[in-house]
Amino acid sequence: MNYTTDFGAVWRYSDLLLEGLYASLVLAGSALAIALPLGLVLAVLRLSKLPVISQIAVVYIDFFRTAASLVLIFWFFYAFPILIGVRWNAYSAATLALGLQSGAYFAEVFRSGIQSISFRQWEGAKSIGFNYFQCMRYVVLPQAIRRMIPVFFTRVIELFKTTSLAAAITYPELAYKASLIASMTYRPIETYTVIAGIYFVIVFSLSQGVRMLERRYAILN
Amino acid sequence: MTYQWDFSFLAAYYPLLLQGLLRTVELALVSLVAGLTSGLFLGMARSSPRIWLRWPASCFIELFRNIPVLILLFWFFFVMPMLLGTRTPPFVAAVVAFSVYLAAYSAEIFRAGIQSVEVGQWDAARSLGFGYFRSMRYCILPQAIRRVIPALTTQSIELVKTTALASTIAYGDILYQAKLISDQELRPLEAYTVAAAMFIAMLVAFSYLSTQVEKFLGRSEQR
Repeated sequence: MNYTTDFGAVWRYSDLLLEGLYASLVLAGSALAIALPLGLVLAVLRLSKLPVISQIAVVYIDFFRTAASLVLIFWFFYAFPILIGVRWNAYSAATLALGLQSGAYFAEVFRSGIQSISFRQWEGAKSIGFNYFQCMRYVVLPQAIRRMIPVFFTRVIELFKTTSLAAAITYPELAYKASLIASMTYRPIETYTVIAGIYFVIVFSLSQGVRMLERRYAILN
Repeated sequence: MTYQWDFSFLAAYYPLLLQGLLRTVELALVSLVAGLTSGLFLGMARSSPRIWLRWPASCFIELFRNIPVLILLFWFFFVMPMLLGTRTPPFVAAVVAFSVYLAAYSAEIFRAGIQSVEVGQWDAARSLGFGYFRSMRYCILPQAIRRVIPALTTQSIELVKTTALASTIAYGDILYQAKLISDQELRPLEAYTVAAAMFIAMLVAFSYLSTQVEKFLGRSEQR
């Protein structure tokens, strides 16, 4: 074994890496913009008393949670445009695939948060004359949100990690830039080590931040 | 927009799809067994009172939980031939990447399970004259594992879905075959729809199976 590593070759392309990082963050942000409202609506539908409505939400959630992310991304990139008859780019396909899938995951986060609030809290709120929305707004959600914080941010971090899959449909994010750099420099080992390092630093600091939040907002029983 | 759906051409590719399915199952099974087994030992090390066991385990877990699995896959794909000095087939790189990833995730689940067992159980096992390993083996683990089965199931389903990534390093799984078919027939809509349907069918079966396992293991708790 006499392979000499040369990380300098990778750093010469640091502008590409920065662009890639920016594109990753943009994709994660746009997917979140779809996923959050969608997740909230799905969670409310899922908790509906009408079985028809809650079943629709269940089917949606189960479908998107059991479909592999990469298959969804391919489907939305290659198949979906044919179906609706428009041409579109990798960004829209990846945003839609990740957004719709994360929506299903967030729905479960919100639902479990809301359900974790004891029904006595509802009864208490009703007994002082609150209606459904007031109960939700003033009593249940403030407690539910505190409980959801750790799981919620874990999901956001997972979403950020999943954006790397968009490289497969040539969306120019960090992992795609890595494959470009690797083929330009013929140094895949250094390139992927650097990329792994960048992801590690970002995700690790995010998850440490989540742990701090968790301690800060823990509900003392 | 009226698109003529036509799944009939897929009949000719039936052996290819079946092969893809088999390869996916093969990859998933090997990674699940390797990943969960090493996850169990990592989880035990992580919850051990000895710092020289706990610390390396924590480092391993934090490292591999915080890197996207696609990057891990590429990394092992390119690095393993350098380290081993021989060509590594995509299957080996994929198994290593996915098992390491699953080991890191399931270790945290096992740790949570082990720590959820009351201290009294340890005391009771010790009072019967069991050492650390026998307490673990006969008293703590059976209870811990039963409690974490649902979380392990979720994680295992995630892993089966993750195996689709192996198509990016030219491992011939379902998704790879779908891509081949779609390129040959210029019918991506049908090819990828079938790939998605195969994954869903497989995972529905898998989650049904794990519910049965859960019931089977939970039977003594219900008494």
